[in-house]
Amino acid sequence: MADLKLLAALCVLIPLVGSTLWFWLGARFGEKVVSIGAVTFLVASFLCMLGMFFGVHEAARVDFFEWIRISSNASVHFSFLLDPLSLTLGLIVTGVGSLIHVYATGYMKGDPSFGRFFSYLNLFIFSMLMLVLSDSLVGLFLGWEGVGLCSYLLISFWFSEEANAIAGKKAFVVNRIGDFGFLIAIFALFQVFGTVSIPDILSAIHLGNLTADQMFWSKIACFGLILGASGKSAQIPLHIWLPDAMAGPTPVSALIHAATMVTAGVYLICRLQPLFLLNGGSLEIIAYMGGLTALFAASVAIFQNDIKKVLAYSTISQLGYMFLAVGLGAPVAAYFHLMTHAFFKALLFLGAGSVIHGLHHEQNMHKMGGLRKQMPITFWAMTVGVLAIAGIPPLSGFVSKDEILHTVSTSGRTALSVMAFLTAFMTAFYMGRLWVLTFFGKFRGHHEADESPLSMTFVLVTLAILSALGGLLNWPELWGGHELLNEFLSSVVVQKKIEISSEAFHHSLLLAGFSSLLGLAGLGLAWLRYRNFSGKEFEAPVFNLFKKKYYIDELYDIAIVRNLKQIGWILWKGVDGLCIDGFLNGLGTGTTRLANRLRGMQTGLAQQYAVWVWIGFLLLLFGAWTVR
Amino acid sequence: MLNENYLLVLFLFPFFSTLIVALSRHRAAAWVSVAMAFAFFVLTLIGFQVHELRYSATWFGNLKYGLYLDSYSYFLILLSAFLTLISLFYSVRVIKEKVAAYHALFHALQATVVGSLLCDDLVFFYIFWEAMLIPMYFIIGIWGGPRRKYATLKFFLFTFAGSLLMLIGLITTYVIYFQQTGTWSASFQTLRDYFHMNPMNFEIQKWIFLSFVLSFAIKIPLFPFHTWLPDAHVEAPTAGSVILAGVLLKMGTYGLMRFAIPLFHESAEYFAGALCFLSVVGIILGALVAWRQTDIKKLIAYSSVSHLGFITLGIFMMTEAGWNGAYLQMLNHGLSTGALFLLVGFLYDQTHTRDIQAYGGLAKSLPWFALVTVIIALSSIALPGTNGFVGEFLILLGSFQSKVASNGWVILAGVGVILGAVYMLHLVQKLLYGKSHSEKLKDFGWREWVFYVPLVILVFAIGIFPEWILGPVREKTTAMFNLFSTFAAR
Repeated sequence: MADLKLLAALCVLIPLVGSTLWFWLGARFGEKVVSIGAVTFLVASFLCMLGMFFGVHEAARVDFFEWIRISSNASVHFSFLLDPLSLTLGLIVTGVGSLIHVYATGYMKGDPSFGRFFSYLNLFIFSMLMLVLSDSLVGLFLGWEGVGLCSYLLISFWFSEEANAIAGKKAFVVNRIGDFGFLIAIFALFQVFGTVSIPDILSAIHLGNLTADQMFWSKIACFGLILGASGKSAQIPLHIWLPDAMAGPTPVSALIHAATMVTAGVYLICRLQPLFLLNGGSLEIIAYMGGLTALFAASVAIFQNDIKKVLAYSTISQLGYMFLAVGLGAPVAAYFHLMTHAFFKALLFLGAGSVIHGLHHEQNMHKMGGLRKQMPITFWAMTVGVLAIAGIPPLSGFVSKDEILHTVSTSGRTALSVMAFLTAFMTAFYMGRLWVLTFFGKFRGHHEADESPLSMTFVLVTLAILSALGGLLNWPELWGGHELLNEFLSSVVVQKKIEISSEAFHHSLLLAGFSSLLGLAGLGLAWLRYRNFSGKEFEAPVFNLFKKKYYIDELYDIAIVRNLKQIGWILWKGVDGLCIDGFLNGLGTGTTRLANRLRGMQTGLAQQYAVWVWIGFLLLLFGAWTVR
Repeated sequence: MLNENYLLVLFLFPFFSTLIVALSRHRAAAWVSVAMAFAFFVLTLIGFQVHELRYSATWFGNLKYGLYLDSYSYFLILLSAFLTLISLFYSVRVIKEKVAAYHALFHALQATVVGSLLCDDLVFFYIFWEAMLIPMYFIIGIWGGPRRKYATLKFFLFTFAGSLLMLIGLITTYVIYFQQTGTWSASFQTLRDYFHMNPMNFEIQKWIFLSFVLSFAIKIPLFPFHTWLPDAHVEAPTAGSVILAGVLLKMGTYGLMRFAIPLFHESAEYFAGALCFLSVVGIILGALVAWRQTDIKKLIAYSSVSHLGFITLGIFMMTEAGWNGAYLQMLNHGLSTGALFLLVGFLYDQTHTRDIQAYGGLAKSLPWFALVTVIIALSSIALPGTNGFVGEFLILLGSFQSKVASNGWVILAGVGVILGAVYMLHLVQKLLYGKSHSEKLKDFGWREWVFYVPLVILVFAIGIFPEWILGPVREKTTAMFNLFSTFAAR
């Protein structure tokens, strides 16, 4: 137990120490030392995580120290919950994180703020591990806001561009709206259970016997958590920050805005699954939110020309799939997709980064084309990624997406099924478009492209292998596989197991056939449409809706931001200036006027004073008479 | 162990240093003053393990006076000593005119603050409370900006009007005590114990409570009595702003927790809804108005209105966790807002403008300034891991369990958490990011690090290990609430 505690502490603290080191001494160390140091630190953290992964049976709690004492019998601890759910995600965070660190040493070469970049990146890993490992909601919240901070710092990393700084601010503020929901949820749960420790809350739920009042607050908590999750995982209505977040360096997009941070919402809901099971309606909301987001984002992705924007909307869409699965009671499927998505989406982003790097920061796909010859490794790695996300068997994306499609199609909700299948088709189409526009046809840009350095291509190849084989982690038993992940997570989350029967086998085969057909159709259509691309996109008034992202940014700006600014101005000039100060100044001038009037009585004429004395005397007499 | 003479030394020391500084030569005055402030800070630190200390003596006749120190007063004295020390140290380089007078006034201010914090006696409390105005009046009036006359008049009239009402309330309390017991006493302990056993007529109690609250509300400042604050801050010299925001505003919230509510907690519960409403309006108004400011100091001043709204919410909701959070947040706000004013002062001394539009891209030319600014901004928006979070979290969590007012107020206050990020990140973005057009500025030198290092350490030390403050404070709060509940049970 003692060494487990040490491992856990090291795992989290090593990146934190690294973060301070690179910030403080990055410039003095030079790029080489920072590169080697940052990667070594992360690999060390990964190894600690691996040690815990194999050292923990079932689950373990590691308590460090008391953080905030709320009352005599309730307090918040810095403590970790090491169980299959947290350890799996922890492995992905440090594992994929290490790969992306390696990649970034190549990508960021020559940047004047090299040390600062790795400092933020290491700080992100620290926060993400706090989020994943914490066993109290408040500790989780520390990581939750911490990753938000790192995301903010990294989006506005090249802060000389005003636009980048604004994008970072937008990400933070939109996330704060979600965090507000999270906070309210913590308060509500504390109201019901008198604790903020996740295992304690869950075991209290298992005991049952909640009063109507407690049920009410647990429902409020669910809504708060859904708001929080939708902020972090960029689901409707809080998805607007993620596309803008692409202003950050590409390794950041891969690590934070694709593989790890944005999946925190899914993790949160899986973590607290029993709470959501208590309030069935909230799961329904999650499912529909996910389905809608998946379809919406896919439809926007088709019309984006910035290669990173396509991938950003694709991420939103894939996260929608995960929410859909969780909402329909299949957290393992969601988790599985989370893992494979971490592989193939990190691969796609890093591949895109390799292209952008090769083209000297060109991101417009209209200015690319024919790059497969200049960048063969990037091309082949990207091809694996594209096939995986398009759902071509037997790649990882196919297996995990198929599990989600299976859940949807057997849930009896037609609308959601239509959304999910339509999204699958559209995904294949926009990914095909991206692939063809980038690597085929004639080169339409200006710069000569070069293949990226080994540090980058090595990572691409590794991720390509993971994307190809990731499906084996949970290969369905129906097809003679062994559902490792399902088995592993079964002690933490509840998911109905698929019965093994010939009927189910037929159904699954039909489904797999249909979904791979959709994938192939999407890719084929894109190939036909964009193979000889001449610069002309689909043109029709209705497509403007998709190009402009359904005008949601504009809508929020008019409906909320401008109004708030207006209110701020009214409160300042109107309430503070006109009403309060106006009233007080009026009081002041009134006093002055009264004084001036009264001063007029002091004329210096003795006769007048005598009259006043007389009047006073008479009044006194009158007063004395009435009192008597 | 420390005995009660420690209290007397603590009480008299700032008077003594005022005298020394006032009498020292022009050249040496600044450093003498810093040395005295440092000595006082060390003296305060010595009392760290003291939980409760009482000193009483007879003045003349049977008129008694007493000093009383507990964790509620202790940490505020520590805060005052710390902020006075660093703002005087900061002033050494900035203030070149009438140096001795300037420094002596700050020590005099410290003397009145410490006096009112240590007093067990309501009359003495009132005297020091009033006296606090005078040094501040001169600090703004002599070393202030161009509109200092207007600002000082507004500041003085607002707070003075409030104090007069409190005086009426005080006198009424005495008279009632005298009518019922036949003896005079101004000791807070005596009065509180007596009125706990023999509750006052509720109709009268209500009015006395309101007279106290009004006076404290102006000082805090609670909406709608806050409009003097932005003007005073804008005109005050940097060190004046630090002490005003860091220490003087806290005297209002301290007054609530120490006097108004313990004496009249029935009335406090009666008015809780209305007072929480005003707090929440303050939170949201402060945040939205701060967002629209172009004068950096005004922005910070309005952010104080918002933050103090959180503190009063925590107090008026009448829960133990809320009070602990509110008390901690008083210290946090003193540290973070004090630091923000110092940071603005650092820029102002070099550029002589407080217009937010005049800056940009400072992260490039002033990387260390940028780092400290971001850390302090994060503490101000209560990011977990910084001190601000612990206070805000306890306030909101505690208030949510409140029985005296609806927890809808907490949800509304939560909106203030979002808006806090909006105006603070707006400030950070405008100052630090974007195109750089202020290349020639100098970054921190050793003089700055001397006080920013402890400030930054405190941000994290309180954020991660808050128990060294929360522990003693909680003891006091629990004792207080036990008293309330025995009263309610009776």
